[in-house]
Amino acid sequence: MRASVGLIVLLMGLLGVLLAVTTGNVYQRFVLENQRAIFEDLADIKINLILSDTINKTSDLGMSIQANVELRKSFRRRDTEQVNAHLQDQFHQFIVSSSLLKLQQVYVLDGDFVVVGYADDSDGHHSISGMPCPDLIEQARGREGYGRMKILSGLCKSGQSARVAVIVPLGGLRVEGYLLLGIDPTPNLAHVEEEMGMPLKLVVGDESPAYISEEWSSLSEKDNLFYWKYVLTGMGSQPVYDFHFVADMAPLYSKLGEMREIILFIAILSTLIVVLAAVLMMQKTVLDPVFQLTRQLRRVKKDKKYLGEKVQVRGSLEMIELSERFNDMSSELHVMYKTLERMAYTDMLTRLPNRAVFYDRLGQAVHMAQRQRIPFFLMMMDLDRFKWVNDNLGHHIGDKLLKEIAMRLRRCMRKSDTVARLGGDEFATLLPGICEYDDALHLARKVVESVSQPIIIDGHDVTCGVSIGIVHCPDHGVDGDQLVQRADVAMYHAKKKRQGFMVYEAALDEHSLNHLDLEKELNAAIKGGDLEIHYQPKIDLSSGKVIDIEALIRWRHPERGDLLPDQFMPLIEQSNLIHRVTQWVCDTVVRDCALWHERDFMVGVSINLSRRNLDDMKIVELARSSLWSQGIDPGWLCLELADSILTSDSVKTLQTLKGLHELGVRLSVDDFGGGHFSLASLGSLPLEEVKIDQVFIQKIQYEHNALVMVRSMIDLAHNIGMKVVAKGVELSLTRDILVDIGCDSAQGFYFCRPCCMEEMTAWLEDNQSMVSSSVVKVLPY
Amino acid sequence: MYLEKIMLSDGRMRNCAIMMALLFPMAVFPGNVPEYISGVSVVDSEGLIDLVVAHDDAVVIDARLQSDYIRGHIDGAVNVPNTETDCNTLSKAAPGSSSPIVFYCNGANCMRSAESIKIARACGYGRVYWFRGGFEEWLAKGYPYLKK
Repeated sequence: MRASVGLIVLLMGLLGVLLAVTTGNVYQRFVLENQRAIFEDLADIKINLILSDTINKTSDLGMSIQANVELRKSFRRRDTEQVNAHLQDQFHQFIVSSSLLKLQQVYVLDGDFVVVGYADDSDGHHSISGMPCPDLIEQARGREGYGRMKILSGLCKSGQSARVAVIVPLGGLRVEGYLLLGIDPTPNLAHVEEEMGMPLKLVVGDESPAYISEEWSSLSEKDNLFYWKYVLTGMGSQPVYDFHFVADMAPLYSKLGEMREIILFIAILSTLIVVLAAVLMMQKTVLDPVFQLTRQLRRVKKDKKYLGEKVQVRGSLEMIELSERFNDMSSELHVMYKTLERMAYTDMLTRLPNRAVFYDRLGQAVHMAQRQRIPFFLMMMDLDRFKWVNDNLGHHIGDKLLKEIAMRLRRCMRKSDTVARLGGDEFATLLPGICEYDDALHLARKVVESVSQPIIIDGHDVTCGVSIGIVHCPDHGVDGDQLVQRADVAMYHAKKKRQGFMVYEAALDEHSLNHLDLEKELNAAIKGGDLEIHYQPKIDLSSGKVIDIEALIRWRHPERGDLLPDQFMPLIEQSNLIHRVTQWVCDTVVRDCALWHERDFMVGVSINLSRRNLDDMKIVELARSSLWSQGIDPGWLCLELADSILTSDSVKTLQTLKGLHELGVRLSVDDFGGGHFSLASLGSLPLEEVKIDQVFIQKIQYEHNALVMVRSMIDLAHNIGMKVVAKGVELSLTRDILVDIGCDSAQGFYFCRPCCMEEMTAWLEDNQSMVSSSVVKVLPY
Repeated sequence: MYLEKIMLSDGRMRNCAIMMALLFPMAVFPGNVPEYISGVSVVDSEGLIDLVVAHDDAVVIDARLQSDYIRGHIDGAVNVPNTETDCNTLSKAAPGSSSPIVFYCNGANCMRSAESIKIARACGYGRVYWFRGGFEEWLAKGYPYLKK
């Protein structure tokens, strides 16, 4: 920047020099013009002075002649001869003979300007004819009164020469006549050459020169000559003389050249001084402040801690203003940067450090543990029932719950501990100062107790639990990611076992790893289409017709082979994938049902629900949308619920069941008798069917107690208006017994093994006698 | 003292003339040229010309020193410097005391003509004229003059 500014100033300086040179040339031209004007003024003064002097001398001569007493006497006598003789004598007077005046003609005139006497300087060689300047005589004749006493003079052309004519009164105070004198003024005017100091050529009109200097011809060979002309006018403003002057300008040009060199030198010197001064001034007023600001910008770029630091500059007002604005902007940026930093490293809801800070501090703690052997504990925490709170009480309650939990966690920890929110309802703590397991467990217990305390939020009594996984560094690893993963494993088990907290053990890890891997794979399977539905029909024992076809989910695992629901459904239930899987199953089964109906196989379908499906009302909307999209009457859909589901007294579960019932779908209790199902709830729930666990069914043909229990269950169900389905029928004997004891329908390998959609369709075609047809159902909505 | 010296310095005639001049009342301010002199007509250039043209016997007296007279004077004027003016010299220049006699010197700041007039008056000249503007006025108006 300094170089560019210097260059600009230098260019300005060169421009100044160029301007000086141009100005010098203009000045030279101006000097010449001025010189010409001076010459003309000077010539005008000199020539008119000479002319005036010549006239004065002529007047003096005339006065002297007329004062001659003898002349006056001869004049009074009108004695022309005597008068002429006296006049002729005048050509011998000193003033004439010494060439001070070149007297040419003398006339004596009477009062009426009639010639009385005359003499001239013709001396026989050439005659001078005519009175000089007749206009002057006319002018004199026209005068009156005292004016006739005055001397009259004029310059005029007379033939090929010029004349100065002077009329003086004759007779003193008593004017009797006039004397007219004619003078050739050329010799007198030629003296202007000496006065002006330059050669002269005098020309009268267009004639040959009346006078020419000796140097004239020699000068005309030189260079740098300056010619100019002055015109002398006479009576009536008629030009009489042309004064041609020539001046040798070489000395002037030489002087001007010297002057130009001096001006150029001064201009260059001035430019250098100005450039130097400008650079120094710019350095002080602009460049230094700019450098200060630039240096500060570099420092800020290197380290943001310098943001907001004031820069004090000295310089021009504009630069001071700029620095003030710079400081203001820096301060604002400092505030904004701090805010952004806080936002980047803080969870804005709970004001706890966020995931980034946690992992950063975890890295530092691991580093310290490795280098300085300072152990620490890490706790991963996940809230229990938080999702329920969020879904049922709203996110604003969930947010307030999180804030409260964050506050409680912070209260439980020391200042040196890090409590961070990793996302959702997941928290983590770093405990760098705790070395003993007992201390860590004590702290975990304290956290569980603190979090479990009821919280009143907007009038809601919210109770929330927490599951904590605990790992120790370096006992459980010296890698941050590994420690987090192992804490997750411990937390998963703590949650599963509803234990509150659990310290990581290697044994947990293998099992958990399988589950964790399975979860990832299941996620991929949903996306990749590895899940499929198998179907198994339920047969009405009295008519032998197919009532429903139960959908059974299968996972064609690329490495583990076909997996049964028992092997992966618990994992699905624990994860957030449950809704996606349910949706997929529901859509697929209802679509297949619609396809069978199109082929006139009027069968219903049944789907197994998990416990998680009843935690909210989503299943209702999900079933409604599937049925609606395929145009299937809800009565064709049966939802089978594990009996363990019905042990819950959750209000939400009851609301969901009610919602499904109102939708028009049938509800069935699966594996009835094998679990902990409450008989009290059997009557109170909107159920239409019970499916007796195959453990009982498969024993009825050889175990009396089993037969009694099945019969009792059938009677019980029938008594409260419910249908009964027997599961696991593999033998015809079993079917016969079931028919005998009044079971409504049955399901099992005896009738049909579970198979895929295509095989099921083929089975239906093969056993059309078992399938109802042309039954038109009207959709309830 | 000054009066005594004057009275004793010259002849009887001159002494009488001076005495008479001193006795004449004049609007004279010490050190300054008077605006007028009692009993004397003041004329300008044209008045001078008219006077000379009207009276053939009119005499014009140039009261300046001879050196000034030679450098330039009114054509026809007689040079009688005031320093040499007395009844005798006046009688030579203007024989008739009844003839008009005009005095002039360099100009309005010149005392010579005034002094000569006082003497002329004392000598008995009755028709005395004073061309008070003098030679300066003559030149300024562009009238011709004679060098000698």
